[in-house]
Amino acid sequence: MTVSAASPPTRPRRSRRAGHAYLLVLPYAVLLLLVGILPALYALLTSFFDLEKAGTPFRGLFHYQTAFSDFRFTAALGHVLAFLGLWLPAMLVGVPGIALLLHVRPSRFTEAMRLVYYLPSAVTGSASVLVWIFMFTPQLSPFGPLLKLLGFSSVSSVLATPNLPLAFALMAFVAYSGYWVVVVYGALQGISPEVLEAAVVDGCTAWQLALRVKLPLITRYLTLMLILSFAGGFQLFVEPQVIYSASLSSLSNPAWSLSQLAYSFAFQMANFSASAALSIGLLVVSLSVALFVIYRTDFYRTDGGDA
Amino acid sequence: MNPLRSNPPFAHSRTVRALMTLGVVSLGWAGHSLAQSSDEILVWTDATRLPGFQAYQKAHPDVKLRIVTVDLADFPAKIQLFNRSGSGWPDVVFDGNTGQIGQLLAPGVDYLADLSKLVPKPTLSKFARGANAPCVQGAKLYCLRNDLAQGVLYYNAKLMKDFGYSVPKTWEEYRALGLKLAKEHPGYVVGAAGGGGDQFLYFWPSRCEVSQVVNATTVRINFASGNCTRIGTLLDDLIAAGSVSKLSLFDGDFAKLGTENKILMTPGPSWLGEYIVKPLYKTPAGQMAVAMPLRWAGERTAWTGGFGGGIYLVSKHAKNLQGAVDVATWMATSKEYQTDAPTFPAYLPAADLWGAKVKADKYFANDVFSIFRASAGLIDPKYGFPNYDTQGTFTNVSDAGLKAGKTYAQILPELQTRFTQVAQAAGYTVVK
Repeated sequence: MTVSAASPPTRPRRSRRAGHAYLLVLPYAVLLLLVGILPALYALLTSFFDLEKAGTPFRGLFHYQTAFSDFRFTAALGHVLAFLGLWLPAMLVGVPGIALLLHVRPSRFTEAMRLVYYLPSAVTGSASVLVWIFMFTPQLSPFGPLLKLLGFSSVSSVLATPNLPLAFALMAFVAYSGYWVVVVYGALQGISPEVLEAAVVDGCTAWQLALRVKLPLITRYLTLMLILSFAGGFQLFVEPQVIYSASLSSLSNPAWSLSQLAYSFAFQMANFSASAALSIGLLVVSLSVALFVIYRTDFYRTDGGDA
Repeated sequence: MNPLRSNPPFAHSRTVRALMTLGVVSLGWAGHSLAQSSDEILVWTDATRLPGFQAYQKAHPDVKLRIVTVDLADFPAKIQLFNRSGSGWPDVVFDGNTGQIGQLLAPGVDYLADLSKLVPKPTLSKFARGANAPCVQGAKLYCLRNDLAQGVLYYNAKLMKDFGYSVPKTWEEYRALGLKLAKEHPGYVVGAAGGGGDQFLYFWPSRCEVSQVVNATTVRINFASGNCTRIGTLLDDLIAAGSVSKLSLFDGDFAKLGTENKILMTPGPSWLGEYIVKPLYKTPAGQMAVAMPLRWAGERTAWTGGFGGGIYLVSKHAKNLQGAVDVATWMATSKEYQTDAPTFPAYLPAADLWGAKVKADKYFANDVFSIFRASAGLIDPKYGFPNYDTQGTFTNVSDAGLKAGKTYAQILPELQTRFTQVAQAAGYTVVK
């Protein structure tokens, strides 16, 4: 091991860089504390104690029982898992697929296409759902002939209860794949050109280049995408809720997803404690999945070369 | 990285929604506390009632009103948030969705003032029979009704004459007419059951036990009773024949039937003529008429349902309680406001003045006001507003069922199951 005589002079530079890093992260950390950690702690308290009653009695697991034994819980869990089962594989295949296609021959066209793919993400949740309702109405949609061909005569048949997981998966894919394509494309651009040249020199076809060389180098970003998409998708709220209100209660359900059920506990049944208990449950599941994936894939390792 | 700070739009939406609600609440709270010095009355209203409150302010310059236009979609939720923060409740509220009264009267909410002692008894006695029934708990009264949306029977008098039919008086005659119409003039309709309208236009008048509030902890839900099955069978027969549509009265495709003059008749609320028949169905003047609501042949009275109608609420936390009550009473009963109101006033003396103005309108083929007046007290008061959303629950099951091709014979048991589950989750004991 060589001892670098130059280490001492680099230390002040490193600590200044470290100071800058902390400064950059500070706003995020403050917001995380204010709107993430503190509300989560408050929810934890609310789920165990009856804060609005005199003496704030400790209720143990009573509210968790109320939340998890509610007659809508199992159905909501099933709906969310069906949605994730359709959406996550689509993301895991679709996003790297599109990014790799864009990366085959970078040009002005790919720049433009990246923007086109990203645009749906710029339309916020509830507004985009209203656009989707329009898209799903055979009489009004530009895809009307296709919908009619598939046998759908009205928006009620398109958004009938059994079709909802697929409809939401489609909406979520269109909305979020572009965002991740931009991230993954950035990762692809970070691959050292020497590696790619060496692979081509060794006789790689474009297909092999994509699948055998580029893809393994960006798995870390796909893992990140998986964690964040799972957490976000598991807490699906806006799409089923907006469809329920926009259709004047005809379509979807006020407790189709688990987040809606938590909302319903708090604001329709005035049971903030059961709502908090369910929310903590959602948090625990999302955290567990994230931790599992992180540790299984050695996500934070810093040795070894990768993008 | 914390997975909760994930895909911004998803998790953001829920957080943003909660933040927005908190934002609105704190704005309301901040606004209220800014004006705390004088006994200012904070009024929450919708756009339609705004001119009324402004007229009150003009007529009573010594009273200070702060009028805010608010979307009352999540109103009970907003009251919950005010309860948690301990201040900010609006003093007078116009709520266009009477169904929310159940949630506002749930134990623990403790928001509404008891008006039975604060409004003079002679005034209360002049409201239409049953108008304030949704807000009655025991001997206490928690709202004043603004307007009624009593269900009546709209029919096209010209078409009826051309086809040689007579206006039905009973549900049995209505059924027979619907079946005859389907044979003789297919394509014409006598009603619309979709979009959740069926609960107001058919099931409520039949006094079906959708969610009758027996007491604070018990509801009666019985979709298998005679009251429910008789109207369910009638609807199944007419839907199968094609003379009752599965669409909603407000659906674009049903309005198309209207413009093609294919709507022979339909049960509908008192405001249907002004707001739907004229602008949407575009029926030519002099054709549409109104008849009394239908009754069952074996019964003496015709009952009907209430498809709307708003209420005035007063907060018990109001600093100027009597002032707030006066505002609400004036809005509900004054001839200055109610004579030009858009819909049938629940306060009968004002309704008579309103009627004089409506009589001058030559659009309808008969005197609609006398029908509205006679049917104002026929809204079945037992219908019930428990602390869960009956309208949404009913629509979610019945409309989805109709669109999936089910008959009411199949939908009624589903309604029974869903309503029972929702009622029990809300803490009620369900009885038949």
